[in-house]
Amino acid sequence: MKRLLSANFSRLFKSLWFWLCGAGMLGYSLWQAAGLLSWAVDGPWAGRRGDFVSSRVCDFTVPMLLIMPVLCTLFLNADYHDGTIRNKLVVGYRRRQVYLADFLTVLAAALIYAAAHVLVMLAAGLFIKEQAWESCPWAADLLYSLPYILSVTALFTLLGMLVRLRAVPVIAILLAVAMLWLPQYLHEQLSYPEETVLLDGILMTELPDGEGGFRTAYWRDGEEISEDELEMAPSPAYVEEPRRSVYYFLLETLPGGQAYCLSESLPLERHSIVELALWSLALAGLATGAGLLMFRRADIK
Amino acid sequence: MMKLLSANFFCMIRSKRLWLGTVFMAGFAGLNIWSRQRQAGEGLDLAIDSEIMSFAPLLFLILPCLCGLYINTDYHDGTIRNKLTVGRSRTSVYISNFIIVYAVGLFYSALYVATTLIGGIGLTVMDPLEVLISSGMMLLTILALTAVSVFLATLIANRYVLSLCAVLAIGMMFGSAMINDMLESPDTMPDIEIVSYSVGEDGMLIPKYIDSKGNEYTMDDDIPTVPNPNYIDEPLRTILRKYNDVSPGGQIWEIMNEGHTDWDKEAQTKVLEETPYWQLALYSLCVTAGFTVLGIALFRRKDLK
Repeated sequence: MKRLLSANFSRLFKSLWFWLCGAGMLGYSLWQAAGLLSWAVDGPWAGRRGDFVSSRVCDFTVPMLLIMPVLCTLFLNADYHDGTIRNKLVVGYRRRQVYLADFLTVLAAALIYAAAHVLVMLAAGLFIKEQAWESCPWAADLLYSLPYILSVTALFTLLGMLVRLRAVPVIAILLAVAMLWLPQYLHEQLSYPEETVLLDGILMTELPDGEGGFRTAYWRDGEEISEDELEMAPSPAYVEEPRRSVYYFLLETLPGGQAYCLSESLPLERHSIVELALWSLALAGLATGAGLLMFRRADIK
Repeated sequence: MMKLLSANFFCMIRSKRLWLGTVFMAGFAGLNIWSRQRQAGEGLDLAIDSEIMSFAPLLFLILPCLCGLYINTDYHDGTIRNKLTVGRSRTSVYISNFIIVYAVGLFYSALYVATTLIGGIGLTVMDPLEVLISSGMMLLTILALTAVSVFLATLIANRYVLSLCAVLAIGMMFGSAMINDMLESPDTMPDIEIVSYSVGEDGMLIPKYIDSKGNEYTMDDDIPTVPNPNYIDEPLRTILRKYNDVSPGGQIWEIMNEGHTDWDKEAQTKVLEETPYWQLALYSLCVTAGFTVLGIALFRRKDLK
């Protein structure tokens, strides 16, 4: 196992794709850091004391979901393509050892990328004089993002190890895009309000409110009515229970939604962050278990 | 050339990927129009113009992947050498590949639109002429995108070109959306630290704004402004705008959103601007011609081992 790992790592560090994906991630981190500095050093936030860094430390989650399918499938698929996977088995390694070694290798790559992002953001924090370091909750956030990294890597390792088609990188990338699209769609669906105002026969005007501003006035049959007298009707676009719970589950526990929730791009409403971590661990366990079982029976010509 | 085309055609028809993509396009169109029908049943509006035109973003993601797979298979199986050995010129191999990939794009578009129209029986097309013109423009944009992907897939024989094509399509599309977002942001922003409300004598809420120096304001217009760090300055502004006009990714958003939002520095408002269609069409044709000519020139010198 140790030899397998060291062979994998030496291949990883020589692989052009590892460095290209890393350059992509690093570019994203530097771009984020530059944005932060332009706000906090000489921009509108200058001179204000606060914690600017914490909410950005975990921002690597979304680009990671786009980078890992590329790296996992290209790196693992090369083993099939070059036939080196047979060599590993011929010299006596068990299939589960080969699978786990490959999984650990790409996991290490993911952790390296994440660590690089965290370091860049923390370094950016050092340039901000008013950064309040004492109240940084980023360490906890970071801890909860570890299961996410695990699940994403496990999922794409499964794909890369079991599918030996040349098209597998394309499939993986399209899958990742779909995973990132789904939570946005669900969030839009969930954000429709429960009730809408019935505006049939109601006239709306803007009247001066006597202080230089405007207020909205509602008129029915020539008489002004207050906002409370308006009739409300249930909105047809509102998502009812139990569909609502299902939507929330899909939104918050799948890796695509977690990528947004962990980087605080979407609010976490139904589930706690601990539950997210548990679901991620479950998914990682499931993917690795299924991968080990199926890889044992896979026909490696 | 005709023989090459018909060989390509049969090869394409027999490939599983083509039919996988067909199922995907038809399925997506079906889902889309089904959700529209449900909304229409609940009394929301009945136009399906945007549903018809949504073939373009989907095709934008799928076609480069299919192109990469199709052309790379020729390298992988070595059949590209056969084509050349029997005396076909490299130019005709390149162009016939280009034609067949674009034909698949047209087939997918027609399929998507047909599914939407059949599923949308009972709903209306508000502005058929506009839909037709926009769809035509999008097909021109897809032509430019096809030229770029054929260029890459023909010149790079390695497997990784598949990922490259997929990443290219996604990167172009979402990169341009990000650029549009960035160009929207105003050059200044109000310097508000805190907003507090008090209730006036007539029961209305009176807002009170406090800026970063501790001054208080009650009127919106009095609040001082500070430069917005997110504002993109010249010359980068012009470069990004031009990129979005020329690149297929920028064009697809331009046509779908019927223009782009820009920040007018003099008037201090957001303005909706449209790049004229003739310009977009011209850029698309130039990109297509440029990449194809360059592709053929490089392909003729390529070492095919």
